[in-house]
Amino acid sequence: MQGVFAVPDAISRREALAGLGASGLLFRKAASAVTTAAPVAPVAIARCKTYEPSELTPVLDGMFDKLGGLGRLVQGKTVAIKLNFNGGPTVRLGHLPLGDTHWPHPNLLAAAMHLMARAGARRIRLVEGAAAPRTDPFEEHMLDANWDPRQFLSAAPRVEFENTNYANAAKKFTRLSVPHGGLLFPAYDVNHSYADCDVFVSIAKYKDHPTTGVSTVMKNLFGLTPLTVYGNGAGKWEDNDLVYGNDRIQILHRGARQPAMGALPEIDPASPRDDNYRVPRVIADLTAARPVHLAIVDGVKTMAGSQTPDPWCTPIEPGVLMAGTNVVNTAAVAIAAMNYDPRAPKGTVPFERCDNKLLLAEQLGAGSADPSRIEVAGPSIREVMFDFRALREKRRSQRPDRPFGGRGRTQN
Amino acid sequence: MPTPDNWIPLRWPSAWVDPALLGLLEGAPFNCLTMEWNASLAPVAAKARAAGLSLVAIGNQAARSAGAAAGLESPSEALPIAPDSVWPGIAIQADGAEPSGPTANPWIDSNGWLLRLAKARSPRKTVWLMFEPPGAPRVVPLEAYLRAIADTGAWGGRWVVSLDSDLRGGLARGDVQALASWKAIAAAVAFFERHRDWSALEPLGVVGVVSDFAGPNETTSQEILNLLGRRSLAYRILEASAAATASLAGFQALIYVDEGAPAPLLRRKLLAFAERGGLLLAGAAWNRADGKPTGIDHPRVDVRRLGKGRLAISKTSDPDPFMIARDVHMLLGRTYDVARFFNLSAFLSYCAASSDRARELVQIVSFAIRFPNDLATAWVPGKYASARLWSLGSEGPSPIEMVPENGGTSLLLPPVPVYAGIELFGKKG
Repeated sequence: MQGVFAVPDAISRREALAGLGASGLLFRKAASAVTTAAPVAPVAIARCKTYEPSELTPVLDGMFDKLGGLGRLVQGKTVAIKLNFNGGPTVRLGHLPLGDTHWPHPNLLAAAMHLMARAGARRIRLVEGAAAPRTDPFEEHMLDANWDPRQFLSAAPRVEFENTNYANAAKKFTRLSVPHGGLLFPAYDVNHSYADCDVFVSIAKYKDHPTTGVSTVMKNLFGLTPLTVYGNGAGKWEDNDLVYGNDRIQILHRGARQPAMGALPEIDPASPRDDNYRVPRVIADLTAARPVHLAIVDGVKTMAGSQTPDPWCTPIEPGVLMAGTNVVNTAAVAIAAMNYDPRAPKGTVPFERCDNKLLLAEQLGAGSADPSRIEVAGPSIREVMFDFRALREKRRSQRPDRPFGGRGRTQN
Repeated sequence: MPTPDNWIPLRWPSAWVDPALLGLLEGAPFNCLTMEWNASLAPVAAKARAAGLSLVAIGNQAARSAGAAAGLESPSEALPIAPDSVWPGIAIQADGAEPSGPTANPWIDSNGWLLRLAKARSPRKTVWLMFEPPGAPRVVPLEAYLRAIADTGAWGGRWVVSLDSDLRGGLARGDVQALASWKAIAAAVAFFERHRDWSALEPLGVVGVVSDFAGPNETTSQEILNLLGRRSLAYRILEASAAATASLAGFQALIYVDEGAPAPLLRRKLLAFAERGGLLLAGAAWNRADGKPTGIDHPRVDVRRLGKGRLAISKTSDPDPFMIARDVHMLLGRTYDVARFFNLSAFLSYCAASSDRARELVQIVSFAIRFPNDLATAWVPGKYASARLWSLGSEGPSPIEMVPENGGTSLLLPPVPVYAGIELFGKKG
């Protein structure tokens, strides 16, 4: 493992990381050297046109088989599945339910849970930082979105829900240190569920993102950071059992202040106060600090244009699922299947304004972002490609000032 | 001449002394003019009376006496006028900011709860509200008038329509835009008059608020009604004096946070409700020996097991109505929601049904000033044969596309900038 995290001798680690946001030449030198060392694991791709369990479950089952089977991963284990509940539960793209646009579809989640239970998972814990008070049962957040939590309770024998914005029963947060010191923070304080699990799963749609270019199973990890520590109202409302707001703009995006509740401050307070610099680094840090054992990309139905619904988003039906045991690899394949270059440097599509979080994670040794190195099982990337890039260019031609959505960029 | 119960009132501006301005009432539903009397209004009063309009004196005692002397009627005792009504809308602070709580939801000023309470107290009477539009420098757009009419009409009340100085002046000058606004205002009032039968429908909701709504309990209990509505948690009102003998069928949760212990009969009734499986949220004065501890870690209520149900006793004698509304919702669970709404950021809803449930009604009053053009969705837990939508400004109802979702029905709506009335027919199962 040590070699995986090694940075080539010719370039110091500081130079390499600085180069990601500055010199394209240095960036390319660093990246090309490291990419050969970053881990790779197969990514399974399958076509799936609907969320009907009769189609979904066997397709997913076949994909897991191609990854070596779920049994070796989950048998007798506690599994934590990080959902991707971005935006409010009552905000839809037009009339479409959230599972058709920006939350992973509940039937997909239930199918994955069913297969995990069948493979012998001892306990499945659904985890997410829901912008809801501590005393609100997490299931209520699902009901607010018109999901039925009973669908998940019946999918596996022992199912738990945890709102990871709070320490909850553990009474305190768990500190996840970033290997080799971290890019923005040396460590992140998170709910115990992210540490007290044998298997960590990230499930998310693939879609565009205003701050980080694209959002998939890697960006999902940004939500590990509890709002009570890293949210706008962190340190202000806990006594009232309330979360103020639902984003992390002040601390993680802008660096206007440091985290609350005793979490470690960032490494370099003089670093750019620019979310295009900061947010990709937070994601890369978390990718390295909390390795994902199974990443599932929901591309049956999703949307192009932003992270959360706004009038500029386009609902789409690529009809594809992807899964892998390395989250960077899986994200890279998913991004390539969006007709984007997962290795594109800052300033180019899809990372026009931000640093490339995949390359940052690759630098930390979390996984390769180079699709040419990643074995794909099932249809090829080209065969399942959906042209997000063309939709992006179309939006850009219509509104050059707002290629990522019409409601600003303040969502996390 | 219409009887007081049928009066459709307009506050006649004191400066409108030209009888020709009565021409504005042509085609409008108003049949009653309220006047703050001064002698220069005599020609207007004479012509209005001749046209069959009812005239009612308002204002201070002197103005009402002068009006009575001039032959104007007094507001009848049969016509309740709710005090403390407000201009409906998102509350704006003096600095122009929108005040909001820690949930970041804007505060809504509404009279919905006030009308619900008035109707519970006087079921057969139509309540008048006499709030005024905000004065300068606030500009009052047409939408604000429509919202004021909807926020009254949806709950079966009547607003004594009062015009701001800009609109009064515009109408007096014959300004085209002002006349267009006036027509829309009149049409909105007429809409709710045409649907006056809706107020006979019975409110839906599994949460009951038990209180005397008076004295030391007035502020808390009334604010609970207001904030339950803000959560779209459908509720029904039970006057404490009648609750001991009222049917509690259909309730899943009751809130009783009045000061002091309840009367013995009411106490027994509430305990029996919980023992049979209901949730009772009680004030701090409730006997803590009732029920058994559950060990639930809750910052504001002590949750106890009582028979098949639960008793949640407030830990403070001065509970926050916002928290009570939220806690009862979360302890009960959204499973019992009578409707859910999507893409409506600041709104109130009111769900009602005929006694045979053959017809249900979901009304939405939207106060949103952000993204009011988003397509909206209302979800109801049942399945229905048909649904139709009433909007202000439309000639008639339009069919609503219904889509099965989560065991119920999603009603696909257009944007709701101000108001939507949804009629549902033929509930299945």
